[in-house]
This record gives sequence, structure tokens and C-alpha cells, in this order.
Amino acid sequence: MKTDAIIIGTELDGLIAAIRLREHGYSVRMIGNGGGSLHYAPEGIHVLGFSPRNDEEIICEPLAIISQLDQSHPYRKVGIDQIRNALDWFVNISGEIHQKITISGHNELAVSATGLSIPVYGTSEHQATVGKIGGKTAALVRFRGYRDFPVELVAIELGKTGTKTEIVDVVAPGDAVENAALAKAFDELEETDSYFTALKDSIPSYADVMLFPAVMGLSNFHRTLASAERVLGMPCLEVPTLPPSVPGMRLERALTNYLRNGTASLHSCSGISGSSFETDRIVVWDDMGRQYEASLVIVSNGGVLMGGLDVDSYGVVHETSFGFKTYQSEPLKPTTVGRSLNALHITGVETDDALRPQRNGSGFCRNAFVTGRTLPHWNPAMECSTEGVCVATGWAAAENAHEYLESLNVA
Amino acid sequence: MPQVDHNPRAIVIGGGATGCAVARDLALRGFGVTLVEFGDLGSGTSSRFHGMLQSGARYAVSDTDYAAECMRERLIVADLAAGVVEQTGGLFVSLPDDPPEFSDRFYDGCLSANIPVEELDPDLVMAREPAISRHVLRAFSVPDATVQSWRLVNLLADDVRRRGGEILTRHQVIGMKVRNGRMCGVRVTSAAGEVTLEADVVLNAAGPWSARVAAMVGRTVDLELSKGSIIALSHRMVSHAVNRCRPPTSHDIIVPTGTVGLFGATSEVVGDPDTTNVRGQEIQELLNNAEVLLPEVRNYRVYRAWAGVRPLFKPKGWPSEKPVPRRHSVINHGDDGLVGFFTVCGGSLTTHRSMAEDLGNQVCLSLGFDAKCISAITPLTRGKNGHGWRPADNYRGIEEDRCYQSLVCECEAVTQSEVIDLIENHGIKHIHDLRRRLRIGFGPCQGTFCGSRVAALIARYHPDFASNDDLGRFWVERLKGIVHTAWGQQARQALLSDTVYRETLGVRLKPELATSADYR
Amino acid sequence: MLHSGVFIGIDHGSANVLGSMDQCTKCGICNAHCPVAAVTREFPGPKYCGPQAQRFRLAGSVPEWSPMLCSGCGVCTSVCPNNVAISDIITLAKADIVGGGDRISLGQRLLNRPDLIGRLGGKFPTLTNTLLGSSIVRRIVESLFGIHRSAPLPEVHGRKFRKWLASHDQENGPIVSYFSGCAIENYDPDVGIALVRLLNHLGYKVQVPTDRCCSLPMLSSGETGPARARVQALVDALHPSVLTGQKIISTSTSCSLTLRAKYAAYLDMTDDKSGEVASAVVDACEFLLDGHAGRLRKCLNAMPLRVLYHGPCQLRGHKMGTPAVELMQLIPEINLQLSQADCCGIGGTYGYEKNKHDIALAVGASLVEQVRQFEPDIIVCDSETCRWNIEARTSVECVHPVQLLMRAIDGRG
Ligand SMILES: Cc1cc2nc3c(=O)[nH]c(=O)nc-3n(C[C@H](O)[C@H](O)[C@H](O)COP(=O)(O)OP(=O)(O)OC[C@H]3O[C@@H](n4cnc5c(N)ncnc54)[C@H](O)[C@@H]3O)c2cc1C
Ligand code: SF4
Ligand code: SF4
Repeated sequence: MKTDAIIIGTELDGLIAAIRLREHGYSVRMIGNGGGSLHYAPEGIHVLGFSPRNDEEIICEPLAIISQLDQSHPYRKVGIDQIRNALDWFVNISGEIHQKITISGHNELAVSATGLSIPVYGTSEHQATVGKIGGKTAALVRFRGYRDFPVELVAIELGKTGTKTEIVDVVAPGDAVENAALAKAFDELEETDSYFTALKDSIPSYADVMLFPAVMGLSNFHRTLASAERVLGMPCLEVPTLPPSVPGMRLERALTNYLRNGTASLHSCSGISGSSFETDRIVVWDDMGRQYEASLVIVSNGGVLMGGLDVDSYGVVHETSFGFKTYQSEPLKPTTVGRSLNALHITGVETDDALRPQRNGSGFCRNAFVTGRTLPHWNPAMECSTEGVCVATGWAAAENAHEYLESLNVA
Repeated sequence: MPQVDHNPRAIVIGGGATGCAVARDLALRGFGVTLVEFGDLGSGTSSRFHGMLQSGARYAVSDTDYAAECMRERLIVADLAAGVVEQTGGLFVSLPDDPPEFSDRFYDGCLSANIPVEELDPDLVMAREPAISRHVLRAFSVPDATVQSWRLVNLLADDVRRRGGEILTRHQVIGMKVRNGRMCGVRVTSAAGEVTLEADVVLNAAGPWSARVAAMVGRTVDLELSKGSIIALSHRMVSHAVNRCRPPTSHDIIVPTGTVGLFGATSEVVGDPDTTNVRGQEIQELLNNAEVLLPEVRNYRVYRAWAGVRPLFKPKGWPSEKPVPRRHSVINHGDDGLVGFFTVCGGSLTTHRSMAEDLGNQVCLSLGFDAKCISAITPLTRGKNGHGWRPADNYRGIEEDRCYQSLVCECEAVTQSEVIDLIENHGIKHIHDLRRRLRIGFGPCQGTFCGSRVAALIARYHPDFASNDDLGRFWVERLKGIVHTAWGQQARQALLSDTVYRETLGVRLKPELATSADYR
Repeated sequence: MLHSGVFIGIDHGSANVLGSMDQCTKCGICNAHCPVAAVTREFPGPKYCGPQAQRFRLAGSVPEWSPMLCSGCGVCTSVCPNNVAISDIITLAKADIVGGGDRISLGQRLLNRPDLIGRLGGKFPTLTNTLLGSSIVRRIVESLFGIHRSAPLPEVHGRKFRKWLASHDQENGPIVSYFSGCAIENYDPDVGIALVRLLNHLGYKVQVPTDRCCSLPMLSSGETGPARARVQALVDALHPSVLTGQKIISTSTSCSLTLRAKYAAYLDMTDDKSGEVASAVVDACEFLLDGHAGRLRKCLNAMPLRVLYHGPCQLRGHKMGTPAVELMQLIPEINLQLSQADCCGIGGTYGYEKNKHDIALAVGASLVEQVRQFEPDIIVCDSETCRWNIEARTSVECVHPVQLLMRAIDGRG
């Protein structure tokens, strides 16, 4: 069946674009290959945490410095007004899907999996931030046998910022020890109150905030944490863990469900093996030979990280599914990769300001848009800006696609 | 000839395979020994090598005596330290590019060097080794093996400690004490400050740095520093160490070791023993040559690349067109007026023991101390010595105990109790030092998930642990090798790993971390 | 020969399956979705059992246990962003452990032959059903064969589907083949009847070339030795229809996935003939959606029911999205909810085994909970063992999507 849009990739940017297009009333088909990079995303919406030029320079008001970014940065292409709209819209959606995000106009300092600070623009309700725990005494939960939360490091680093900490040894329900297993165990825990009541004795009386690893449930975490707060009588917050990230999975799942209930079709495949472009029609086929037809395509397949782009052993970056032209600083030789991976982070599909790519041997496409990690000229790891760029570009791509589809209708 | 009436004291400079072997040799002869190592044990060339316990066949034509020495030593090491040696066996294959007449000379050379060699049916070899070229013209088997160098140096060092010797790691020799033309000690600096250690003899086993050490007292050592780069392929593409059958040059061997396959090596004369950076051009050179032996190599995943510096001994006036000899050399600096100071260099990891024996003999002779070398006949480990090391051993242990959740490094199957044992009982408190001893971070993910787990365990025992810096250094060091091979699936891995370190763990790559010399 | 960086597909044999281990980036996404790892610490999870352990398996053989706990559901493979053929790697390891079937338990051997049991039991259906309905008999079966006493054994139906088909008149039209498989032939005839009627309604004439079993239970428990001859016979039986250009439609997502991809992966059947059969196989819902949605929409009557759809694990292996959902959304007034559970727990014959029954129960718990909350009138699922399991655990009727569609056509909402 033909749809208005095909979205390649199940990344955050693709989900955002799909939801926005559904809101405009279009039919969408998402084609993705396995789990997306939200599985790697620690909690919160990171818009711009550090300067793109300096790994250590903390940014306080990300929206205020967008205009100082390089012209080619995706934020510059989207533009400050659209970024604001996109973020406001996302805050709304996040409430609707019970993943409420709060933004205060400036960066907060989120507590990382090792207790270090990472500037974050939008925080979720139970996310541990320096602001929420500063000056307090924190009880840090260490689940027995659980290895993906380096709680001892959190204690050391928080100690340096003046937060007193005490590690509390706890047995998880069902003695679960893996992120997803822990989340499931908490989701299915029937008597949460009595579980936390039993915990109470082992928590030092002077503690006034509890820090849990961010595994307190996938679907029922609100209930579980509310119960913990009620029983323990103090704020109960979550600190990110090693991937796969449970908060990331919550968001992916909630957005996906929201879409599915809005009757979008979700497909998975192992890869896109080819495509054909016509003026007002695109056909893509997957590697099982299935064909999908649409008026336009949005490519949100996660760049090199998630397999949307390939790097060959000569250091050349390729986009093979559609034959889009890519940007790379130079062949990715060690001289340009240097001692960091920055050159690899900033490669991607080159686009115009409307996020439209160019096909090898022809001009800019009218009916294709590129988002998120597939875009070049930004460095998620260095900037800590992943969710911000994904939301902004996913939204902008949908808006541009809307404009294009309307022009078709008019014609 | 002078006579000593007490058991002499020796200081050994360098904690690579050579230095550890020298310390053990002397400790077995009754010396009081102190070994001084700048970094961690085996953090120099001994850990940057190709992994082979050579049969010597590689040098059978060019240097038959040295080849014979390798063969003798290979048998002794495999016997003394069976637990760190894997008897993979080696193959020499002649491809259309290789000089056809070399094969016969190779065969004869092996026979003269007492290396058991057998010509095999090329078709059989290609069937057994499906990853190699389909154009094998002739093939020979030889008893090459592989050795786990870190385990080896630590076995040697443990034996030294057991015999009363002292091992000082993260101590650097910065000067010497000379009295009346006699060496009588060294000045050493460490985090604890500077001290002078006294001794009857000082033995320079500082590998590629030995010329620098000798220069502290104005002596020269004719070293040629030859940098070699190696790439680690994702799994054991071959089951034997496979060599090209041609005069030994560069990039002609693939070695299965641990769970990976190592292809190398390049060679390039350098001036600085600290030159361990790999150049992009070298990688392409390696891949181009590897394609001849392993046609699919550009489709393989390559975990990382690294370089080591070979400390070759090049006698004065050696003709430049002739290959530098591989055999080691012992220099008694007493011959040019500094009694009690010796340097040993050249050789290889395979011959670490015979190098130490040779040095020990000359030291005893010069001191008039009558003690025979017993390192070849004294078992290196207590307990069972029978079977060789197998890379699947870790995995077997985990399956038997079903202790899956206690894995710290999942890729290399390293358990929490192994880590804790080293932290508690051996005073290890850096991720790097655990990495070297346990192969942590050696697998596909190159330390993405184990780094912070290990750091947390260290912090459990050392609450003052500078975790942030240690993690940062660990990741920068892993990155150093990955950036060179970040193509295909490893590019994806590299980005995931960087994402985890920077976005989840919050580690920032500070300039001082990013530019610091190798953390050793 | 092992390859890195290759896609696993219809014509890829075991070497490609195993070689895909090198694509793993250790991201752990598979572990996060594996239904078995989520409920037991005994099972180290797909990442470890699959690509991780494979590196060691390559370096030397080691006695193993952990792969046997994998249910073969394939969820891991479908969520892996790096195309690692995780569940296939594990299945091949299982085959090694059981020596291709030489060291397999008697109970599993029985479960692996649903066609045989069905045929034997089908001779005396009433007697068999009464016997298997008796708790004493089930207890004996449990101690003899290790098949759990409360595992959801289906009723045998004799040859009901065959008999119905023989007496069923079909008008002329384009011919399609239906791979009924042992489940329809012996245990679940109504699904087959619904499909044939539905296809007739759309103008097709349906042919059933064979009643053979696809041998999935054998393959997924490692009994590859005896499977080979059976599979070859099946391919031979299906091939003539393929030659005439017919599609082979299947109402079981697990049988069709086996036909499409597993003979190459597990038995290295990468010859042309097997490949042609594999590419002709199509899932019933995908077939119906592709080109027939418009016609269906016109003849579907309103169905104001609460319907819960549970997509079986194997469905994801097809990488075709959820065609059943898109079809059911065509039914007017339907109140459709989608299952949030990755797996119902049964894993083919996995949950039948005594020592795995508890794991299966725990895996299915979240689906049962969702059913409790949503209180559906009917549950829809594309795979037979899942349906029997869901029905047994929830006491809610569970049907195949084509049955629901046929009811909507018949106006039996
Ligand atoms: C690429 C490559 C591949 C190789 N492959 C093989 C092979 O397959 N098989 C084989 O047998 N051999 C091989 N070799 C050779 C082998 O690795 C070396 O010959 C051997 O490791 C040298 O050991 P060493 O102890 O002499 O030197 P090193 O291991 O370098 O030890 C010297 C030590 O001295 C310390 N040191 C230096 N200065 C000071 C100071 N001032 N104070 C205190 N300590 C100091 C250093 O920190 C260092 O740890 C290879 C070499 C290279 C480079
Ligand atoms: S096939 Fe299913 S049970 Fe087996 S490892 Fe994969 S997800 Fe887990
Ligand atoms: S999902 Fe795929 S890449 Fe990730 S750990 Fe599992 S097998 Fe490896």
C-alpha cells in the first residue's frame, strides 16, 4: 500500500517526524532495522551541553548560543524559532505519553552513570540532577550482583561536589541483575509498598534523598517510584546506567505505541537494498525484496552509529541505500581522526537548509529529507546534544515534508 | 680475578620479558635482586609484539644459528610455562609472489637448525585454512607456538619475589652511582620520591630504551630501533600461525592468539623508543599486503592497531644492505672502563631466557661468583604444568560455574573474582594494570562496558581512587588503537563506545589525557 | 569460511550465520528484549550465548549448557541493529550440544514429531483426547518423557481439514498453494478452513500440495540429523507448485519463517531448488494485505469487539511489519489493542518441557496481565502453539487473523 511518507529508521528523530506527520494527517510507514539508539540514551533531553569546539566548556543557555554555531550545524539549518517550537511541542507530547519532560530555559547538571555532571536541557521527573541533590545526603542503592551501575564511582564523584553519600546494599525483586530484568521485576512487583518498607531499615536515618539506578521499571516506574517516595519519605531519583538504557527504552516504547495507536505502519527489515526516485514518487525495497511506495522519504537511520552510513577500509564514507552525497572532513585517516573520533562523528549526508540531500550525479531532492545522526557537522558525543538535534531535525523534516505534500495537493 | 665472599646484589633495569628473565636467572643463582621498571611489568615492547613463540623457522635461511637457538628456547619455555603457551603449530606457505627457489632453501635451513619441518600437500593446507589464499604452491609445517606475554612476565616476576627478590614497578631509573670506575647503584624516582639503590652490578635490560639508560653514564649501545605495527583481526581466521615462505621481511604473518588473529608487522627505523603511534599509511600497507595472504581481509572487522619498537643490536660498521642480525648481544661495559655495568639487547621474546643465561654467565664470571644457570631446569610455576593454555579456558570455567553475571569483561570472559583477587592480593589499582593481566578490554567492544565496572571494583577497595582520570586514560588508550581501524563494523563500535564514555559515563577527553604519552 | 559484514538471508548458510558474530557491538539491546533472560538468571542471554560465546567456540570446543535454555523465539535477532543472526547462532550451538540429535531426550524427540503424534492420535481422536485430558495420564507422561503435566497440549482432530477440503467445492480461478503444515492437518483444522474460504471469497482456487511438517521443532532443538531427510522430502513436494509460479501461503508465521530462511541457516540447503521454494513462501496476512485490502474493506462487516492482538515472536523474523494489524484495522468498529509482551512464553515446544515450564510461565506473565486488564472478547495470534498456550492460560478464545476476518465477512461479530 502506498503511503504519504516512508521513514527509514526507528531513531528518536524518525519517531518525531512520524508523529508530526501523523498529526498533519498523513499516512506514514516506518521501516527500521532493530532497536534504535534510544537504547544508548541516558535520561533527559540534551540540547547542547558542551561547546562544539571544546570538550570541556559547559554551556549554560544552549538556545542563546545557537546563532554562534557554524553555519553548517543542523541547529543553524533548523533555525532558532523552529527549535523552540519543536522543543515545546515535544514537551507536550512527552506529557501525553507519560514521559513528562520539564524545561526551564537553561541547562541543569544531570548526574551521569559515574557521578559526573552532564548539562541537560530537559529533565524527566525522577532524573537525578545536581540541583535536586545538592547539599543533601544521598543513599545510593547497590543491587546485589548487578554490574551495570558503578555506584562506587557515583559516590566518589558526588563526594567531590559536597554531597554526602552512603551506599546501601539491596536485593532486587527476584534477585534480578540485568537492566531489563530489573525493570521487569519492578514492573511486576505486586506489593511495592511492602518491598520498600522492608528496605527502610537498611537506609541510614540521616539520608534525605535516595538514588536508584535508572532501572525502576519500564511501564510501571511511576507507580514504583511513587510508592518508594511515599514509604521512604524522601525524593527517589534515578541515575543512568550502562546501556541498554531503561529510560531510553521507555521513551522509545511510549513513542512507538503512540504512533501505532495512531495507525502508522511499522516495519522492520535488515536493510534497504535499493530505491528509485521519481519527481513525485519514491519506491524503496528492502533486502527481502519487498517494495514500499510513498510520495517522500525521510531518512533517519542513525548515521554511522546505527548503520545508516558505511565507512570502508580506505576511510571513505558511503550512503548506499539511496546514493546520497556524503560529507566527510577528509578520508577518515588517523591524521584526521586524530586521537579522538571527532571526524567520524561529524560525517553524514550533506543537505541544503531544508534538510534535503543531494543524490550522486543530480541536484537536491525535493522529496527526501535527512535527520538526526545521518546529518553531518555535529558531534553528539562532544556536544552532548543528541536528543535536541534529533527532536529539532525530526520536527523540521516533518514540517518541510508537510509543505512539500501540500504543494503536491495544490498542483 | 676478583672474588666475592657474599651473595652479590644486582639491580635490573627494565621489567619486560628480558629484564624479568634476567632477574629470575640471577635470583636462582643466589643474587639479591631488585628489578626497577618505569611502568607496569611488560608495558614496553614485550606487550606490543606479535604473540609468537618462534620455532625459529622464519630465520632458518638468513640466520641458522639464531634459528636453532629459537627452537631450543621454544621447547624450554613451552615446558617451563606450559600454562601461557598455546601449541598452535605454524605453516609456511609459498604464494605465486614468493621466490620459488626459497622453499627448498627454507626446508634445508630448518633441518640444519634442528627445526622439525614437514612439507604438506597445498590442497590439504588450503582445506584446513579456508581463510588463506587459494594459490598456495608449497606448504611446510613447523612447531611455531604462541605465548601470552603478560602472563609470562608476571610468572617470571612472581618467581623472583618468591625467591626473595624485589620488583619495583612505576619506578624510573634516572641516574647511576659510579665510584672509582665501578658501578655501585642507581638513582630511582617514583611517586614516593627519589631514592638511591646500592648494588654490586647494574644490568641494563631496558629494551629499546637501553641506549638511553647507557647514555646516563656516557656509554653507547649500538641499537637499531625498528618500529613494527600490527592489526588485530576480530577472530581466529586461521588455526595455525601462517607465514609467507620468503626471506623474512615485513607484513608476512598471521597469528591466532587468544580469541583474535594478529596480522603484521611493518618495520620502520625510528629514533625514539617511545614511537608507538601508527600511521594511516601503515594500515593501508598492512591491508594491501594482507590481501595477498588473506584475500577477504578488507571485509574483516579489525579491532585495533598498535606498534612496538624492536630493540635490535646493530654492530658498528654493519653493512647497511645486510639485514640486522636478530641474535642478542651482551655488552660488558667493564671492557670500556665501567666495571659492574652490563647491557643486554637484541634477541626476541622467544629467547628471553637464553639472553638472561648469557648475561648471568658473564656477570658471574666478572664477579668471580661461582653459580650455574638453572633457569632452564627449574619449574616456573608450582602446581600442574601439564597442559597448554587454551583461549577457551575462561569460557569453559564460566560455563562450568554458571557465574554469568559475575563477568566483568564479557568479551574476554573475565570474572569479578579474578579482578578482586588482583586488587586485594597483588596491590593492583589501575584499570590498565588489570587490563594487562586479565585481557580486560581486549575484545570487540574494546573496554566499553568493562571499564567502568572495573573502576567500580577498584573504588570499592580504594575509596580515594581517581576514577575519572583512570577511566579517561583507559578510554584514550583504547581509542589510540581503535581510531586506526574504525571502518566497517568497528566504526560503529567506536562510535557506540565513544557515546557510552562521553554521553553516559560523562568522561570528558581533556587535552592532557588526549595528548599524554602512553599510560604504562 | 567466516565472513564479517554480511547480511543473513534466504540463501545464506551456516557459515554466514556464524560469521555474523563479528557484527556485534555488544550494545546489549538483544539482552534487553530476550524474554527468557528477563525471568531467569540461569540463562546468560542472547549476547553472551550468541556472538560472544561463538568467539570462544571458534577457539576450542567447550562443554556447554546455557544455549539449551534459549527458547528460539528469535526476538533477539529481530531487535539487533547490527544484523547478528543471534538466535540462529544459538540454535547451531544447540545442534552441536545434542550432537545433531544423538543426545536428545525422549520427550523432546516426541515433541519434535507433531505430525507423527497427530497421525497416531488421529486414528482414535476421542480416546487420545480423553487420555491426554486425564491428569493421571499427564503425570505419567511427565515422568516418562519430561513433558510438563500442565503444558497446553492441543486436541487431535483426526483428518478433519483434509476431509473438509475433499468435499469442498471451489470455483475456478487463479491457483494458489496452501502450506497447511502438521498443525492444521492434525490439531487446528478451523484455521485452514477459514483461509480456504477467505481465498475463495477473493476468487482464488486453493491447492494443498502436502501435509508434511516443516520440522521446526527438530531444527530449533538441534535435532538436525533426522530433520534433513524430512526437509528434503518437503521441498520436493512443494517444488512442483513453485515451478508453475504459484505462491505458497502459510497461516503459521513460524512454519513460514522456517521454510523461508532456516533450511539454509541450519542445514546449509542453499541449492536453487530450496531457494525457489523459500522465496515462494508468503505469510497469509501479508498476501492478503498486498493487493487485496481494497476488496476486503468492502466485504468486512462491523465487529464491535474488544480484540487483543499478540504478534508471535516469529512474526518479527519475517521483517514484514504487522500485516495482521493492518488487515484488522479494516474491520469497522473493532476495538483493537496491541500486546505489549515480547513473547507468550511457549516458544514452540520449549514450554512443554518439564524443566522449562516455569520459565515459560514467567515469560508469559505480562501477556496474561494485559489480558486481565483489557478483558478482550477475543485474542488474535498468528501462530498455533502460541494460540493454544494463550487460550490455556487466559481462558479467552484465541484465533488466527484469517479466522477473525472470515467472521467479519460472515457477519458473525
Ligand atoms: C612488532 C613486533 C613484533 C614482534 N614479534 C615478536 C614475536 O612474535 N616473537 C618474539 O619472540 N619476539 C617478537 N618481537 C620482539 C620482542 O617483542 C622483543 O624482542 C622483546 O619483547 C624485548 O623485550 P625487552 O624486555 O628487552 O624490552 P621491553 O619489553 O621493551 O622492556 C624494557 C622495559 O624497560 C623499561 N624501562 C626503560 N627505561 C627505563 C628506566 N629508565 N627505568 C626503569 N625502567 C625502564 C621499560 O618501561 C620497559 O618495560 C617483536 C617486536 C615487535 C616490535
Ligand atoms: S531466541 Fe529468544 S530466548 Fe533465545 S536468546 Fe533470543 S530472545 Fe532469548
Ligand atoms: S543486539 Fe546485536 S549488536 Fe547488540 S549485543 Fe546483541 S548481538 Fe550484539
